[in-house]
Amino acid sequence: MTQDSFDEWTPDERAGLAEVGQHRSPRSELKARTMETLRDQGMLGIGARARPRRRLVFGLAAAIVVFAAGMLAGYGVGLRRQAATARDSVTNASAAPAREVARLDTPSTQPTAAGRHVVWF
Amino acid sequence: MPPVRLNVRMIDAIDASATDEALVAAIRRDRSEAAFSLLYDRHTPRGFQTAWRIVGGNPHEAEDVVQEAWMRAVSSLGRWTGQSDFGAWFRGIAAHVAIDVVRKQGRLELDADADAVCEQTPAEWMDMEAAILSLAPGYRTVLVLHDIEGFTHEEIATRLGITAGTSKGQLFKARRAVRARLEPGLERRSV
Repeated sequence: MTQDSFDEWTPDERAGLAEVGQHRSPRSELKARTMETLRDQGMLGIGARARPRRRLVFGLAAAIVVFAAGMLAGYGVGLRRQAATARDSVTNASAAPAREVARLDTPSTQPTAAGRHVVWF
Repeated sequence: MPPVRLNVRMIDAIDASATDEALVAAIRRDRSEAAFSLLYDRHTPRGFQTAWRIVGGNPHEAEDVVQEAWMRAVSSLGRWTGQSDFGAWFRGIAAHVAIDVVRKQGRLELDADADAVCEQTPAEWMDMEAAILSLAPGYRTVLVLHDIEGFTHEEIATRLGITAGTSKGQLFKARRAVRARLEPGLERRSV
């Protein structure tokens, strides 16, 4: 074998190659860490299976809260309008006779003489 | 560290002698932690060694690679058809992740010239492991993938984004550099 050519590894070299890194192993914590990460990603465990249901419950609760808030807001607005309408009607009721008088006093509303003229045959 | 939550019902259902196919099916169907635990114990040691060799002997980086490899493996279990060996499939993912790590660090220079085969010039004889770890990452990756992991030049070319010819050239130089460190007399003659 020369420096410019390379045949194959010798059996001893092959054995050495096979042993490279063979005695290395990860720390035991890696397993728990990996499983925890997989769980967090929803890819492993009963927690992952429960997650969609939990999400659904949260979604429903949020929808109910939004609906209730909208209903309360609508009810509040309705109450205010009702109060305003009642106030207006009271105001209108007290102002109505004066307006009626004013209307009767208005020349345009007075019946004309021609209007009252009745021709009998 | 939070306690590991295990589904006791699933532990009872999974036999330790279950095949990889059965474990993968249990993970896909039930997200079974017991099945994953068995699969992890079976294939992590060799996956870790693959990663450790490619990243240059850094155990922390190799652990990160293994974790990421499991994330990718579990999320794509549907792509494993069962026709190939699960361990080989997982080691392929680990190798891919490890290559990405080395590449992101800017250490994967595959067009380096022959003078840069080794990161440092060793002064004395080395054993095989030290000789391989002393190689520049690009050369080390090709040698590890071909001579230890059993990848073909075409597969290496695809993974590294080079041609098969470049892979062969890198392997030749890497082998020569390793042998030079195993035989210091030869190294001295060549320098």
